[in-house]
Amino acid sequence: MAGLRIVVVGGGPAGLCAALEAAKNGARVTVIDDGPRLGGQLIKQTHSFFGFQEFHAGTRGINIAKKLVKDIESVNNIKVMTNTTVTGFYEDKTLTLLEGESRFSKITADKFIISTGASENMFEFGNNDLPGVYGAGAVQTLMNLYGVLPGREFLMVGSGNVGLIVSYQLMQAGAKVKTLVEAAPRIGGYLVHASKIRRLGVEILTGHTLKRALKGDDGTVCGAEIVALDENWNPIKGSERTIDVDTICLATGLTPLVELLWQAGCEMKYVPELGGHVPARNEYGETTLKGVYVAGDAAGIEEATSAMIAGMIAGIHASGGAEDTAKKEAISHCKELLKGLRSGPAGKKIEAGLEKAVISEKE
Amino acid sequence: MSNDDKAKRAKEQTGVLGEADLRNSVPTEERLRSGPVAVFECIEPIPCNPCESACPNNAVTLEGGLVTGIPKLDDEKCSGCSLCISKCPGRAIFVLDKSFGNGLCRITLPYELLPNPVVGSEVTALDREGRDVAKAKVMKVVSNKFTDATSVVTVELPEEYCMSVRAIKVNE
Repeated sequence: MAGLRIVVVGGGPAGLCAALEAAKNGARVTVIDDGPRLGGQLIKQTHSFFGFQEFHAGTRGINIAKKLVKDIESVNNIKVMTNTTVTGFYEDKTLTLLEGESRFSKITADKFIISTGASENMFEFGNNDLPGVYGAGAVQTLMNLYGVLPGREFLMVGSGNVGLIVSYQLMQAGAKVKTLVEAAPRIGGYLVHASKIRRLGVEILTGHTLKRALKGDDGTVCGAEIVALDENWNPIKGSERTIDVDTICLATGLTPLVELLWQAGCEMKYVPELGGHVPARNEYGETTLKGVYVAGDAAGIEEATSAMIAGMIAGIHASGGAEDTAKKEAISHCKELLKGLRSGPAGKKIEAGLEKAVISEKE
Repeated sequence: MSNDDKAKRAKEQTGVLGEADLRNSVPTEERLRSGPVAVFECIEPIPCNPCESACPNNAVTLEGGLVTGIPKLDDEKCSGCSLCISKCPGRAIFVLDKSFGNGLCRITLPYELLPNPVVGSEVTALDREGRDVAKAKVMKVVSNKFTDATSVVTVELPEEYCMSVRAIKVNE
């Protein structure tokens, strides 16, 4: 038997783990990524990961990416296409591709795993188009991939784990993070991450937001006006304060990147707990379109460890032979790991979201 | 609002742990006087367990046996070896030692900035809010393949700062 043909769209943690599992189970896999190299957001994550010791915990994200890419390279039946953007998902299960800057092509397969990740949320404030306003992902790309520090003195907006971690990484790179503002009344990310930047002197202001960026003579950011919010999230008049910074970094959340799944015709659901519209799917990540799977942040905003495990489940299941005992065991082990990861307070929100997004199999 | 609720709200707003948050993780004065011992400033049930297997003396267990359980240290088993410090992804473990009897204590902490401190030099000691509270002398710097780009630094400073200093700044 020649094995199923599986196309994985997105070479981040979910996609790479899906590809590895599918290939291990005999499928012929093509991994497509729009970036120049595989690894997704892992290649910018210089911090050590939480989670299970036996599943990369304590390892820096960049080193997890290296390991996954090495594993991918060591497998014969995985073909990698980088610098390739999937531009469409058509009814006859054909994907259209843009390879590099000028070559168009098509690819078809028996099954598809969509692991396209997420995009960053923008939010409204005055002068938000000024040079010197960055998303946290861009700051990480410049700083951790290319060794370019985009500013010297920062205001960080958002106290989720991304805002806290990028603040710490900025300090490691030699920048000063003057203040972190968070509109909610409490810090969104893990306390240990918050404590790390607090003891290095970063001011964290909950119940505060950015009102506008201030424009300097050179037309770039020269400061930020922040304001306190009341319990209904309305600005408190007279509480405005100016902070001298040359760069504003936005870490205001993520939205699943699901355009391909919309176009494919999957049933979509709006699930705020998972960050927006996500495809309805079964417990293996298979959407309402048979043979089309979703895994990772595209299925709902969570974090990289759960993305890797969800990718493994999709990869095993997509490779067929669901009645195989070894496969069943592997999937139930993955499910146990996911259950463990989500057993704390942070996991409650995810579980509530999954309740809405995951549909049980009908006979 | 009860004192516990106040403490909870305070740390959620500032990221700074207070005495009430840490009362279950701080070793007794007697234990601190008897030799180096770890203190886990990890009080939130997040999914994370590398500390458990990092300990060569099996002194760490996670509450309820769950990956989201809060780590509990058996400080009689803890030798203060400091191997757990660089293995904690949250960088939330410190080793304290008040056994010297000369009014000085030693604090071993994770350090991830550049430049690395130099043994014998004086550094600025910072508290949980990043305030410059004292001067400290660098006694030891461990930075090797095992610690994976994190330095594990031991500083010496007056005993009164043992429970408050949790970071250092290298004076250039």
